[in-house]
Amino acid sequence: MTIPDSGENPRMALAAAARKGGMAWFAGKKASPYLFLLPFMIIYVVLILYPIFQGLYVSLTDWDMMNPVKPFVGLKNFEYLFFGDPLFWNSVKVTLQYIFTNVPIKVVLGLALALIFNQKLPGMAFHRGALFLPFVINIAAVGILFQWILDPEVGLLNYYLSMLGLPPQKWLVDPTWTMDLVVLVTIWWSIAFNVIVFLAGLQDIPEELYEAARIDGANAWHRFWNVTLPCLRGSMMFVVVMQIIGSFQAFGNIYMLTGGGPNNATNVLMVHLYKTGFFYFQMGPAAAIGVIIFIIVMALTIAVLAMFRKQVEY
Amino acid sequence: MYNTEIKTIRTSANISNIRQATSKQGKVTMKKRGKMTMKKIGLLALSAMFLMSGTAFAAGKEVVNYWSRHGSSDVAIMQKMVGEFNASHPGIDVKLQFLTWGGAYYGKVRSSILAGNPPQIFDVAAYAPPMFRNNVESFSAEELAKLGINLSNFVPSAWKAVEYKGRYYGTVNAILPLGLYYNTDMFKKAGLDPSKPPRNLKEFLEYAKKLTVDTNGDGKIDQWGFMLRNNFVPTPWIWESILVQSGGSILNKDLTKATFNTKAGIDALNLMLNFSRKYKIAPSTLADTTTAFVAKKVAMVISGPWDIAGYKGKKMAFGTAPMPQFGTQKPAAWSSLDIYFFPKGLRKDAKKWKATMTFAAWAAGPGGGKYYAQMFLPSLLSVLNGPVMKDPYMSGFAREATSGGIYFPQAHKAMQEIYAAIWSNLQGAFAGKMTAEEALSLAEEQTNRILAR
Repeated sequence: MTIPDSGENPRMALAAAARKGGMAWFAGKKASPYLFLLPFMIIYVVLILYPIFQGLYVSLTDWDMMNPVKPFVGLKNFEYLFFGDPLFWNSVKVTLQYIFTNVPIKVVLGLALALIFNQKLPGMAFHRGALFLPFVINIAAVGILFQWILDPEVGLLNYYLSMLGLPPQKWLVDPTWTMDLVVLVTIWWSIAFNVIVFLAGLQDIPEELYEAARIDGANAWHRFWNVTLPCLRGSMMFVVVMQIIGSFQAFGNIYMLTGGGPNNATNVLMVHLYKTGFFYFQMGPAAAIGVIIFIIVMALTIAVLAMFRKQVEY
Repeated sequence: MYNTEIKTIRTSANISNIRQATSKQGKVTMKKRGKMTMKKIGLLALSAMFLMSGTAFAAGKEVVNYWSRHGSSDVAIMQKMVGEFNASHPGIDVKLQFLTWGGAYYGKVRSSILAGNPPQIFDVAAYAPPMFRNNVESFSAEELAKLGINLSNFVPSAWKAVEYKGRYYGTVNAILPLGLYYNTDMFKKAGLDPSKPPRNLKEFLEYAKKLTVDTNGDGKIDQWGFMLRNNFVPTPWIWESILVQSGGSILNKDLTKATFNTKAGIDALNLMLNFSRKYKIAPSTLADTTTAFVAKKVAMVISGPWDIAGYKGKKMAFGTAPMPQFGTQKPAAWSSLDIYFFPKGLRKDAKKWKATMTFAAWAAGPGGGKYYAQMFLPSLLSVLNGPVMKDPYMSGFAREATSGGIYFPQAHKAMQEIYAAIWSNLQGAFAGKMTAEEALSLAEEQTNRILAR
């Protein structure tokens, strides 16, 4: 496109030229916001929207990576998961077990630690930093580290137990223990995230509210229950939603530590999805697991958001 | 062309110097600076020439991309192997890339094939051929002979494992059987002869009992005679070996049904459970046997030759032997292979194909054999019966392979998943959560579901 050199404002010239070329809309101010959004929209469509719909499509096909023909099979992959897959229901059970232990502990403990770290005590900055340190360790390293610590024969933990005269434990070898250990390791690794969110929430609560409560004769428990907790509603909602989503998506911490074992005791849905898709090359059922996780997470998130919908005003 | 450029640069630099020289102030300094500039420009030009000529040199080579699943102590050996080949074949540049082993490795290879950009060579284990049969090049025995691979020079059973309907899918470089590792110092201390490792269950139990010791007298065992590993590699394969030793198999001949939930299978698992429960020669839990063997907490373990390089690196006193016969009928040790696969369609590029097959034939022959002999058992008989048989660490595995005491996994494309199903249930039995019968019954049900899919 050639812009005529008429001596007028170049922007005007561009607009005029665009109008002549039928691009009035793009040249006008209306297009600007969309142009600013365009880079994000491209990334969003390519990396988020397309994979979602592609995943949904794969879940409805007999998707063999090596075969260019992908026959449509309707809901057969879901039928296979519900009635044919020997491990699907075990994975659902194990995932729920993980969520119902991991989420409450991490929320309650995260809040408790945040309350402690919110105190003006000496060395608190150091302790906050120390608490956050495990969170920056790569999860693969965490998994390998705890495999060594928890090995029944050559692990550090059993070594120290034996020094105390206590019998060695089977730790990661016994299905009874393994999920609890996975949750403990996960808490050690990632509790700092919740603490920081709660800490930020606590520091946003106006001191006047506590002063008013004290004047009204509220003791520490009353202040916590009637001031702190309601004021943390936003942080609490964020933490609970993030923990539920994160627990459904839990993979690295479990896969690196136990690989889903022993005896499938930690074979959560994401681990099962990974193995089904990338170990056993059953892409259709793997995508169907992904769709199921998506639906469950969405339903739970809506439920949690509804629970916290009530506004608090002071 | 480069010389002309240098001359031009030199000329302009000289003019600059002459101009600077006419100035009265800073005459000497300027001269020196001019010389420095000239030197720098000259060096830069020479470097550019060198780099450009290097690029041109590399561009003349046929590049062969090779993906390997090997890791740990094998990496350095394989790099040396490829380095020697590249040095002795100036027209070919084999680019070796290591990818993490496991099921994910095969996923990456599959993705690359699907994307139409696979490596020219990727190595796989013994149970992988059925997964890739439709996507890799195959050969007749005559074609292999033309490439310099005469099948009569190799361990026949190894090549049989990649044969399907008269065609060979890939080339076989090495064999990786399970065998017995034992600490020779512990043998001596227990009054056992390290040159006579146990060969059957009776001897094994006798040895293991002598090797299970409370070394510090605190009433607790701190040196076990034997230990089983808490890992997919190789505990379910040890169980399968005992099953095969007693005449059993994982699947039927048609590969349509699980056949391991039998007396032979149950006895094999009970024996493994009883190493701890009845015979008290092993700890009650599965553990990291590699670390325990290095830490001298166990005298005997069963594993493949892939551990040798690591143990040698620790300067341990150890020996190897064929896996003892625990079963009732014959010696048999599960074995894997190191196979090279070449993606389908590679033949169409004649130059690439020739370069790829030159490397593959070299790797399967004596050239690569001397390197494979440091990691696994080369499938080439001349190397296997020669230097490998004399190697104190490899000879145990070599005796096993040459005496027919090994077998390869059954060729079903879901074999990896079937092993995983069996392993997860064996774990339940080892943890005391179910009996051997219950574990194998569940594993059988899961395997049949996989086969029915």
